Amino acid sequence: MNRTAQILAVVFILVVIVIGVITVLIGPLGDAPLQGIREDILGREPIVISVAYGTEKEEWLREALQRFEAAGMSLRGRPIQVTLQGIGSREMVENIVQGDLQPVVVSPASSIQIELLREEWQQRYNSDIYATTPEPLVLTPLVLAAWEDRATTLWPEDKVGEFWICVHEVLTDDQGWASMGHPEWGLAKFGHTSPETSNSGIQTLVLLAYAYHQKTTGLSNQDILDADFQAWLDGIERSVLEFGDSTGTFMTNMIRLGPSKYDFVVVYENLAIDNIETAQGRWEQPLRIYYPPATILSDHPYAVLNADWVSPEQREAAEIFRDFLLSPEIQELALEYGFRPADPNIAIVNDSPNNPFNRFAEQGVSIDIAQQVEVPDASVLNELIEWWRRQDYE
Amino acid sequence: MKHIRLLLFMSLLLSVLVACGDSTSDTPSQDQGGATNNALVVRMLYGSEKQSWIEAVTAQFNAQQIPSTEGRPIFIEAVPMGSAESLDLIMSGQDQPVIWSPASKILLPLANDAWSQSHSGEDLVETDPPLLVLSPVVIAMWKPMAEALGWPDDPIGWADIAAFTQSGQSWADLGGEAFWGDFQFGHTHPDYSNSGITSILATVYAGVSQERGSTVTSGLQVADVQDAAVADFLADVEAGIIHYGRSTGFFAEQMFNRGPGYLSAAVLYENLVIEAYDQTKYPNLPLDVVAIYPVEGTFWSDHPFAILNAPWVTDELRVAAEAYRDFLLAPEQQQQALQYGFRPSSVDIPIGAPLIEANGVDPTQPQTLLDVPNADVIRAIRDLWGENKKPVEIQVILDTSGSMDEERRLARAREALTIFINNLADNDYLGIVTFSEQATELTPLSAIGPKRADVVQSVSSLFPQGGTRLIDTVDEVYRAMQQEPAGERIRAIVVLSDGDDTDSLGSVSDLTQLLQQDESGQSIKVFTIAYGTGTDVDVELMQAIATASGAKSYIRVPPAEIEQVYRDIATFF
Repeated sequence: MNRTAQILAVVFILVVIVIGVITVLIGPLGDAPLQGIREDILGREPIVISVAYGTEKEEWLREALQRFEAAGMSLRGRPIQVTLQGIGSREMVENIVQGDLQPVVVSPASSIQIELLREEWQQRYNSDIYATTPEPLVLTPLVLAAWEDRATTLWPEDKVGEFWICVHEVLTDDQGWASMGHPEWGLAKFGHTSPETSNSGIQTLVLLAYAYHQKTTGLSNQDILDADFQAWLDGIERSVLEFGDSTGTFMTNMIRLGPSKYDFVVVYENLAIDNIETAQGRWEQPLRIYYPPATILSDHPYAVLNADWVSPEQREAAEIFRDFLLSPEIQELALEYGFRPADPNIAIVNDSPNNPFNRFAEQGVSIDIAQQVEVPDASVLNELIEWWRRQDYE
Repeated sequence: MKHIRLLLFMSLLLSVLVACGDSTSDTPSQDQGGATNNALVVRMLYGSEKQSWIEAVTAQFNAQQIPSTEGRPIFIEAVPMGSAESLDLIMSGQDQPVIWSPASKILLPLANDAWSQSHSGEDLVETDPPLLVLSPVVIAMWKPMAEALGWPDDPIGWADIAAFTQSGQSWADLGGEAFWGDFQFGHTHPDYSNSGITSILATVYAGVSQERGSTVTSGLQVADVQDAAVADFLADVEAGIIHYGRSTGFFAEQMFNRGPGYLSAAVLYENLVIEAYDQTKYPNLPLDVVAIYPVEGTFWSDHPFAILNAPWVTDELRVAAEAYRDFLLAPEQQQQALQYGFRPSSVDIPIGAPLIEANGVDPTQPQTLLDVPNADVIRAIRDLWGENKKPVEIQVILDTSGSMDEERRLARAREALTIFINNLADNDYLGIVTFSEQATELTPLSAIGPKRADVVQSVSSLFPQGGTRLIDTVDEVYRAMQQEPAGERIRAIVVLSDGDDTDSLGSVSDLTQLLQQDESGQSIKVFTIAYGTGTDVDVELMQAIATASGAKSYIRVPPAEIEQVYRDIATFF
């Protein structure tokens, strides 16, 4: 037995040596069959596409990517590999223009950033940054998310009345909640993200500006410079204890610190929906969701870049990933994360027990989207951000 | 006077610099295990409030021996410390940690402010780092006392606490039990501890509110703080303080071990109230204790995890610190934090036991906050407190027997005492008695301001000679001090001796009995320093005296560390 084992071991070593020698000798000679194998290996090297995206849709994108990988999608035999890079929407624009970020695809929260990037890229490099027309992936409106006890005290009939006027009144009452029988809640505390860093922050200021001027289109620089408007907005902004840098972490902070820090905040609908139950677990009460009379939709566009770091294969692969995200299965998946599908053929209400648009109707989640305001042009946005920055609220 | 005090402050800093390195208080706990030879040691200074949680989870992390980017096993050296104190150590260069996790984000702008002045405008930490755990600042009070104040039906706030202190009423006046005595309140020293800072901020908010006739919870300006009426208000509230202290955990222990006769209420964190119900830690909690969430608002202790942007933090250290951070924020460690009475940073973990009403807390509180003022306003409030804090009355008893010549004991003690004297406020009272085989009054108990230079001069001319008459000297000084009315000043005796008692007539047991008679928080505390490393020091005697009075004793203090000890004692005032 022992002897047999020794013989086997010697034979095995000899075979290994012979194969090794043959490989070394024949490999470099360019033997045809081996060359073929090498090409085959090269051919299966993955095509890597990087997607820079706004962090609000992180959970949906990650789940979608898992399914994409499970489906084994490929292009001419080469597997497609997607890497996700979460980044604040405004930061994304700046970093790409500076050359610090070179993704194949961008998918910021809103078309506002798509247009800003197009404009800044055009000015600097005199070319169109987009290889394909940006296409919305999912939609989500801005909403007001409030702690239930605050909401039912403010709006007992669940009717908000003159929405922003009402909010302004509460926030600027120097008696705070004491005027409504709740001195223990202190002053009313509002919250939104910083318009300097976050898309939802600037959107909130735009909604407030339209509301003050009682219109939904044509917001002008003149409207922003109006001293009465500035005083009105100042009253609201002074009631914010701390502005967040990005909407996702800001929403988490609202849940973390509870009604002690924020009575109600303006955030994306999907984040509010996603946190209704978390709120209950932390503070023994859910959130209620309110829709302003006019809102802004974030449409999460998906655009492949036309830049020297994007190869034709990457562009093709990126389009395959986009089509996958727009497929009915993945669009329906978005519903579970509180997003509205961009594909109008997918119904928002369905019979899935996971669909939050069914489950949270009592918390105020509604299917109908209010009227949308017109997104003002870059100079009006900059005027507004600049005014805000000068007030030193942070 | 101002520039003199600045000089004195600088000299204190310098003395601490010299003393650095040989202090025994900042060695990491044994629980963390030892670092292997080639380990990458990542040093963290953190607020001591979360010590029990950090020690448990850090031991788990270190056991994993996760390799750094250079392949070395990562070892976290976690050192608990008062939050304001750790800030001082970093700023003065005495400590160079990789990670700083103070009790509250309040300190971050102060750190950046100070750092940027000496580092060409650079920030030391990011202003919005991840939070590890949370716990609100609360007023911990014995449940029957809280009920006497109307709790839980009537909301109680900082202004109520202030008014009660100001009124001079006792618990009996409010229908409470006679043995509860006066309203005895405590918070930590704002120069050392985060809860001390939050206490004085909240008191100033209450003072400004009273001045304006409406509740102010935000927008505090330096001008508000400098209003004379606000200064009076702060002084009145601070007059009700029994004494200050180095860390919030210290107050919790004093209160829960000594009972309602010692302390009625203290500014603590919610997690410490929950800990009071831990029967292994406090088997004899005399009464239930509850957390009062002040109605005007409070502050969160939010435990930020900041990796320093400092030259000594290499890329390898930074990446290792990030791995540790991710570990602390992972679901298992966050779930453990809840078990220690903290609110997890992760919102996916529902709040439940032990954060429940049966443990004196309310998970639906707090309902509103006080806004954290800017760094310059916080500094103005700290200065205001320095001018209006409760004055102290200290008797120093100093051994000048012949053995004090060894190890340059008396020489070192003279220097340290000089620094201690120089840090007292002008209206603080100081007396010094020296003893060998007999006691000599070097200076009587009186305001230090007018006599400071003379006292420093006479201290510097002390020389060692003769025997040791310790017990009788302490007895005499204590009895004399007892004649002074209680409550107007923080009263303490600081005894420094290196030897056996050779010349007293009285006994230790008579002295300790005398000291134990006064159980109130306003009682005279006798701190003892068993000085020198020799075997001749009567350690047991020194410990017995301190313990009987409810103070701390320092054992076998080497002469090189005497300044640190005086500094530690000073946190009490």
